[in-house]
Amino acid sequence: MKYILKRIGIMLLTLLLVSMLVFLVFSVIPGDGVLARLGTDATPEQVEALRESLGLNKPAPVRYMIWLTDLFKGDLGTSISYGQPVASLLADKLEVTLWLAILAFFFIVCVSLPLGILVARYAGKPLGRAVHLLLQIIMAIPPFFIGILMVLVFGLVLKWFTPYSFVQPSQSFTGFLLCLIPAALAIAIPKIAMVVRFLRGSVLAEEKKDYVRTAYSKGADRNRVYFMHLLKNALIPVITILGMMMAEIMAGSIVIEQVFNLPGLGRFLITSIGNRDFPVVSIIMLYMAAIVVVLNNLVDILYHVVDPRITS
Amino acid sequence: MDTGMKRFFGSFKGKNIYFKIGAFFLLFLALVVIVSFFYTPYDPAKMDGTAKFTPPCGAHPFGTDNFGRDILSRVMAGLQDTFIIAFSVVLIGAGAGSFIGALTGYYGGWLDEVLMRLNDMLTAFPSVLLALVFVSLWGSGTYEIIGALGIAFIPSFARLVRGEVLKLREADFVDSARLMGVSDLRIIFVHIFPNILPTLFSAVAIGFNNAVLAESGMSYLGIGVTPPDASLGSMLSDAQGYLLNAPWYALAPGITIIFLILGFSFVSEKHA
Repeated sequence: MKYILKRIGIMLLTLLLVSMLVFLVFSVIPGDGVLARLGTDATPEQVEALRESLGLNKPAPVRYMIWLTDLFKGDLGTSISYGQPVASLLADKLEVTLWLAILAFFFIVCVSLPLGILVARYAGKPLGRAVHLLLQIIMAIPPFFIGILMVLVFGLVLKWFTPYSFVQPSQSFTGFLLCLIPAALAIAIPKIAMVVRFLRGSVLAEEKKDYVRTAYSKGADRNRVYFMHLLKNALIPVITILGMMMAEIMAGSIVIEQVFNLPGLGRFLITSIGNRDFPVVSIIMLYMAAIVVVLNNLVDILYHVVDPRITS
Repeated sequence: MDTGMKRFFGSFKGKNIYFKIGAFFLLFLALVVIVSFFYTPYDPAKMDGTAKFTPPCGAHPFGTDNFGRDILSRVMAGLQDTFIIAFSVVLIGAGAGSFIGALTGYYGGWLDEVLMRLNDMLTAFPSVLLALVFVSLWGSGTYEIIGALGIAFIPSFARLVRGEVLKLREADFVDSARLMGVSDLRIIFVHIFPNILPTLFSAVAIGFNNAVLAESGMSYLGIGVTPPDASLGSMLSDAQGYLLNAPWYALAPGITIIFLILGFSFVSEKHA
């Protein structure tokens, strides 16, 4: 319990630091952008008036506190290029990215766990070696190239799905999920290869341990040894990898949304960077970093719950 | 120190077949890069309106693109850009990261605490996201990408080297060196550092791998190498619009990236 509380404390502290960093980078360093909004022939009085109305004439730490309390109240700021509240701009894009990540994660877990166990069983045999090599090659393909290949082969040639199509979730939620599947697979495939290889290593390491030998010598067959004894130990390190992967799924979706023309957070981030729309950029960055921090700490806590000996 | 160096170079010998294949891929691609400085079959930027979308043939082994430019020449030029960017990124990341990691690992104390907390915070950002932070401040372009990715790569190298230095800090040979009055800097960089090289070598190969992936991803998004220069990622982004009529346009740079990454991953693999 003490460990869990400590972890939560560290998590909150990291989140606070991340928010400071984001504020520093996007609100303090680039200047206030007032001149850019008014154009070069604005009078100093106009500039001063806009600064005053936006609250930009206060010192940075005060502005940070205001920004942070506004965040907690749900006021995420106003987009410079759209002139609308950031929160309303992000809501539907968040839905796309979130479901994309969930689908990708679902594919990773469903495919890599059984496959990893299977590959470990065939380790050392020709089939196992071949799969192992194949996985390494898959890991070498950049996710966005997998996406392009999927568009080409399954979209344009075989016509299994319509490339670059998108259905609003409000129209048909099933249709929405269906058009996310190719993109989710493009994110998931290299990660599946990675988890399978990792799980294989973990299973092989456990297999050499004394308790497995004991179980075999007591007459247990392979299935019993695997499912009753070995897997619960071999899966523990895999949890960490899966947790860390969420960070990469989020980062990966930035590029993949571009490949499949999906209106998600990642594409909006790239567009906003192009427009130098810092209120939007900072919120998306903060949001993505926060997800990573929270998930990493949740994984650490989960780790501790699964195996209370681990406290490091 | 001698044993460390010997172990470092010895680690190349007697490697398995994967290492050799990986090294072969990399040497071949490096050779292509060197050749591309002096010679490409055509001028990579020269357009030819009469030769648009020529499929692969004798005159254009990889075909031509939407402007009639020779894709083989563009892949060679793009590979050169990708190599230079990846090399610079790893140089910045591994160089600065090793320096910071070695010093904080050796001295410890509050500076170590502060830098490692900072490190924890930075690792909360996936490296592409962190690089995007810098790109959004600096704008896009080749040098901006090198700077942004280079900085984004520092934390992981710092953490790795710090851990290794921490392990060796109390080793007997370090104690003996200290007793002989060797200066701290000399202990760190002459006595401890060579022992870290094998681990660092692996990390550098993985770093190259990630740098190529990140660079091609960012150039694909249009925030890396900008036209008329070509990088493998930006070529893929251009090619996507013509997937059905000219699939070779996307396949040539894509497969080149795969071989590059495969080379680095085979070389970094300790055992397969």
